[in-house]
Amino acid sequence: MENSLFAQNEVLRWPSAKSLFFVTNHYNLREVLTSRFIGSVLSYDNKYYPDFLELCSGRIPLFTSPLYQDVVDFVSQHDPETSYPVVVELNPRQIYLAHTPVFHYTLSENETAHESAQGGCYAWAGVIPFSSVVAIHFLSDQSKSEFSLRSFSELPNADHLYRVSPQLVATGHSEPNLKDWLAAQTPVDVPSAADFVRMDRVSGAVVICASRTRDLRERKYIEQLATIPQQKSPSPSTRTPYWFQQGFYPKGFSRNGGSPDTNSILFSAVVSVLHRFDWQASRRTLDILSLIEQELDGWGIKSEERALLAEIFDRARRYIRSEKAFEPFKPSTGYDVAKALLLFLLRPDPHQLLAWPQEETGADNGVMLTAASFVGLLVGRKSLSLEFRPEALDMQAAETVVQVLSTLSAYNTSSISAVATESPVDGAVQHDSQPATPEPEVVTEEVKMASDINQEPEPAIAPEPTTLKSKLPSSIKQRLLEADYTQDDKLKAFALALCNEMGWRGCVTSLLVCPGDDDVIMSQVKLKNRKVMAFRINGFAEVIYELNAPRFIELLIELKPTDKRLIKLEKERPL
Amino acid sequence: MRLPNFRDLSIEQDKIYNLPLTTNYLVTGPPGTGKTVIALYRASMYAKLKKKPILLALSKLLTSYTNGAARELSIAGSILTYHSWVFTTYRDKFKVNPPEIDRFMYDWSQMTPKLIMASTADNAKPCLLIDEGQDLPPDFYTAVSFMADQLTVFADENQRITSTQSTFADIRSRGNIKNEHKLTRNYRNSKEIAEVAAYFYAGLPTGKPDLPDRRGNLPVIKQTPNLDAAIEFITTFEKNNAHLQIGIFSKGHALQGLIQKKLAAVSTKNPVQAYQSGKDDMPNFDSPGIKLVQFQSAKGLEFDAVFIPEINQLQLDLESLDTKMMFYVLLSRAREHLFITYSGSDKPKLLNLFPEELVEWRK
Repeated sequence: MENSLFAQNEVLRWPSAKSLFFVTNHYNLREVLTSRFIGSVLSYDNKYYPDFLELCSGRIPLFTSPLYQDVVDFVSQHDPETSYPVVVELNPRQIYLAHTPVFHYTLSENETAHESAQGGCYAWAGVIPFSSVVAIHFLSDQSKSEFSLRSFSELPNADHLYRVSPQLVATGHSEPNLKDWLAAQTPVDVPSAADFVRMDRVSGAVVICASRTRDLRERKYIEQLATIPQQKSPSPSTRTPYWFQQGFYPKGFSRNGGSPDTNSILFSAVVSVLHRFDWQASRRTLDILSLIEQELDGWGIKSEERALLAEIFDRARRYIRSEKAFEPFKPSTGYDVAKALLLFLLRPDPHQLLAWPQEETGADNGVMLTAASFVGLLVGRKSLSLEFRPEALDMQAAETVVQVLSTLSAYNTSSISAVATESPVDGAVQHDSQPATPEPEVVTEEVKMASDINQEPEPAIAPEPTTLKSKLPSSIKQRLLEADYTQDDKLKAFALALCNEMGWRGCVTSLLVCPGDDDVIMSQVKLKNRKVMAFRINGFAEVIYELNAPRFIELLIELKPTDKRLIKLEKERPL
Repeated sequence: MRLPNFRDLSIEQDKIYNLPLTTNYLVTGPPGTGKTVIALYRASMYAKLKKKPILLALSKLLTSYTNGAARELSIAGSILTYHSWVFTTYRDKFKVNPPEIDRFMYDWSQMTPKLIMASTADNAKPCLLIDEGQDLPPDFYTAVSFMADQLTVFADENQRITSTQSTFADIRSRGNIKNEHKLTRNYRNSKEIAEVAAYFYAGLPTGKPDLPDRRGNLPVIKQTPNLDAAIEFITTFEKNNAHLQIGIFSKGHALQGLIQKKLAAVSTKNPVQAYQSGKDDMPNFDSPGIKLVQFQSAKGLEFDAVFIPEINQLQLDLESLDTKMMFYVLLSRAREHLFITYSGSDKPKLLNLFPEELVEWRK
């Protein structure tokens, strides 16, 4: 986390024009704190209090300084008695704005509170991780105090980020057409409300399991999470019950290479039902049981196993209806997932389930872990008490959720590039996303380029000019940021070379393609005075390099266009 | 008593929960709308501000009922009964017992001027929160408007027991309260339980909360051969749901004693606790397990599961509004599970008052 530009007791000053602000009310801030990300209005699955998000569904309005009074008033006008604005300051280096539509205010002379400090708003599309939050600004001591006093067991503490910054708000007002402009922003392909709910539930399952298995490899659970939407199999070294893989990765796994067994099928059916069961709306555990039974109908289970499952379901129903007293399970008999399902249905609360003594359940760790994953799926991560989501683990889970949600949408697409256009809105200059042109045109505009915002943020002591009247060449960095690496081999080759030059990790995967089906011998050899692992094969091998574009862009954003290695490479490999 | 987390609070509860701490408020709402929970949270906020919160409840049973939640919020010593607080405060200030016009009826005409005079020099006035505020006399509010640093009153006019108690207008004018907020929706019960309870509601329309959205199991009416069979059913439920708080309501000492004796003879996962009005032994309402409570003490309590056994033994005037309201109170104590049992082959007439399609009939 970086220091806020508005540290407490700081000399009153105007913020840097490079700051980005998410403006909302304190009610919605609680959702941000518990989810540990900032999402569009579609991410608010529980409660939502009107702010700018609802004006442009799927996008997140991000303001630049100065913030005008009408902007901060807007987010709390639904209930001025109890609602108050909060301003979440974001690290601009972590927000990729290159293709983002932007609206700059144009103010008349008498409205210009500070010369050239006109401000504006980006209609950003995506999900912002909490790690991008630099500070959370309240506009008075009173509002900070009121907020801090109201703590909850599932609400992470972010006291260290809280600031009181009345100076953040400038006199005057923003452009009256701002709201129309936001409403006119075309919908983008962003994660849907269902995507947010699904990821919250999966991350709930993962986190509760990880928190329970500290002695195992917590990280492995989180790594698994990242692969779920792609339906890829996790690493085989992951030490989770094997049915987790079938349930979460139905296309990528079968036990011992054969067809999935009953445990795996049952787990998949439970996961499928719990993903769509709304626990807030219904607490009918018998309905969950019936839905799972229905779900299993389509799985082609052998008739004798189906009969056995029917018997198990009948017994579960009798336990839930208190027609029969529950007896601890006998070890090594029955289906483990069925046992977990029963425990979960009898104790669908995480505290109560995990406090159930082993001697009373007869359940081993794998069964209890599976039952815990069901509870996590049912309630979701955001509603789990912090007891089940230690900070580091929860942060990691949230970051992974953001990454996964990012892959579900096209907002990170590189097939569009920013081209300035005249705004249809009177009195404002709009810069909108347009289909890419093979060779980005030279842009001459009264425009602050997103790539400049992404350069080194400098704390401002005095107001900075927010506009540049210059001819901006299309730099190699800009081209790399806007490239479509699935189409442009030249730029991809350049990007790979740059990764090599910079020594960036995580950007490139090498695939060694061997001729024929000869044995491959791996051995340690000495190469250029270094011991390295080598593969010895007959004939010529081919190496194919794959670029991890999102990771590359992430690192590229941090790179100065004046970096000597970039300039050197540009000279060596002219494009 | 269970404290909800912030995602559990509804939008209308959120608003009350977020009311500024620097203003006096009257919060009104029918039973089950969350008044007591918000009162507890608000008291905890005053405590965090290093102010002195005092939350007044009407009875020892209700203070005991809220104690667990109060401990969780670190305000355990701040929950007092109205009588004990008035008695102690008066005695501390004037070194004599407060004057009474009858047993447990203070003479406010004598007390109020003295308390107001004394409060002018008081530098450590408490932030007073009053639950079931309709049950306290109007003169009390005149006094506390001077004695309290901040005043928040939670009340339901429809639950006012006698005319000597306060209307909302009394509370506003005497307590110097200018701001009023309403809670309207039931959050305690599942929709199915609330629907059945609503059949027995006999008060003013404004006293009935809006139905909750949360679905649950249908309330169960179970016929058993005898009381022993009902006890067996209850203990099976308790064993399978040993994490739940279970209330068994009965009318009168005799049936309560019999049930207690029979439960003692069979095994339960958790100890069985009984409450009898007038006795100092208070059940631990925060622990799971069975609590035996008589009908007249059930008001203000809530349980995950409620059993009303042996209703065939009740002698009731089914035409009486009091009977209906008593059942409204009893049924609406259940959050998720509600069971009514009767023994014998004849269906008690009381059961004809239950809507056929809204309950599950079991044998």
